[in-house]
Amino acid sequence: MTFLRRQLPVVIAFVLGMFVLIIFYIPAAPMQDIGDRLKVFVTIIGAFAMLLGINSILGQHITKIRKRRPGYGYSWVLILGFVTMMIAWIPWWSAPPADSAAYYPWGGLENSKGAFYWMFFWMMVPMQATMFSILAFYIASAAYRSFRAKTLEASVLLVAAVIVMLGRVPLGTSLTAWLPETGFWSSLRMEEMTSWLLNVPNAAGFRGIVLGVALGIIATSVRIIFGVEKTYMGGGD
Amino acid sequence: MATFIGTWIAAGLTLMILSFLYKDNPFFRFAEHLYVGIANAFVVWLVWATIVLPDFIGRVFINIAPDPDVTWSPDFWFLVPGILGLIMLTRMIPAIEWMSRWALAFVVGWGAGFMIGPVLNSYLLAQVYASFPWVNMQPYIGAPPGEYVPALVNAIILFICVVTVLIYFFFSYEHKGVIGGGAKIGIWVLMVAFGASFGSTVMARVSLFVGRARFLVQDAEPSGHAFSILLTLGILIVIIAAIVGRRQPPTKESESAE
Repeated sequence: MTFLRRQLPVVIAFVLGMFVLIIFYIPAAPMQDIGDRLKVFVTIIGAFAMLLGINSILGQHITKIRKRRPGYGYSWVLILGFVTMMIAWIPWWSAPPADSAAYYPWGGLENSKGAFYWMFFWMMVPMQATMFSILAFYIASAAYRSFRAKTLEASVLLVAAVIVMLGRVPLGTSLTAWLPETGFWSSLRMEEMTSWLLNVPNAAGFRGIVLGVALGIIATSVRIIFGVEKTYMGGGD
Repeated sequence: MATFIGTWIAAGLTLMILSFLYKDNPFFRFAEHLYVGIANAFVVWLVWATIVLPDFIGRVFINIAPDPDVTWSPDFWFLVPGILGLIMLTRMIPAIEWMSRWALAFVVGWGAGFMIGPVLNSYLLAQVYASFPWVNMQPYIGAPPGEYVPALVNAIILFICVVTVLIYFFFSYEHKGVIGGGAKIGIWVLMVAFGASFGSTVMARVSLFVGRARFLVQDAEPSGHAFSILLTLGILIVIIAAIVGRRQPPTKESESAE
């Protein structure tokens, strides 16, 4: 039983990890075909895993309603939103377009006349965009705190951010519009400086970080394959 | 009619979420919970329509896209991920929860093996290769000095910046002397990089906000005097949110904390 609980997962990870690693370096078509199939296998398993997430969030809110915890009314809103969208998925009140009905016979976004599409377009998209847009204000507030030029490094950060922000808007670019468009002095135009900052120091800085991340990913992957890293199994027996 | 109602609902929900800029309030919470519910259902559809239906059901059980030129036959190999997927669901049953480790090990093992090759190629070797000045100067061979010299300067700066950033992240030697000087420049490069990406992120968010504002002002306009009505609606939401927010009795958590 211990083998099934603790050792079999390590064996599966080792065999599969080594196999996938080896076939990456074998360009033969049959091997690549197996690799492609395994990729689809993993996405299918991931699809089932999504049900765990749905079960978790709905379970949590159902418990909140059952125990009448503060704010349980909002849990009703969440569950009703979920259920309504799921029902809207079945577009029985409008025929799906002929060209898409064959592939997705149960409706969805392909049916631009259905209720699902309506909810997606008029409810989900606006809410998502607004949710992210209000971050602009919080980022501005964070910027106020972090950009105070107390040290030389903070000043460098501030100057780079201000140049990039100004270089992205017409007002900023108009500040240096009087500079010539070609020649040496053109590199002092706001949009040119923005472009340079993003393509040279920004690229170099993140390249240094990416190299470190790559080494970290490789090291962790090797640890997982050889069973040194087993935290994915969770605790207990 | 559907567009008319949709516009108003979208505008109302947009204002409800924007009301959070004042403070947390029932309107925001309503919209927030509604969003989470709808977004979860959308993800279920997305996974169903793009993975489960074409890759699992369509390969094993039924032919979802009949094509007279192609003979369809079930591919029973795809039952394997189906079974593993079901095993993954044992996580919901405490007594046999441990079985889900098999499916998890499959995914994690595959991910570990799959990542090494591409990461080594594109994140490590390709990035190192692309940092050398002579590699970046290849497209400029034979170019006039007006193009060649700035490109050369940029290529050298890029190389120096990458090296100094790497020196900064190298902790096996104490950051003193030449190493210390390199690390110092590395910090500046990183600060410029963070500043630049911070600026980019801010502008992306502002652009989203402008998009939402434009929606409220322009797109809702065909609905008839939309802007003035929306403005009134927005002000009303903020006022009610302010009143409700101030009147809200202290919760049990805050009482116990006190």
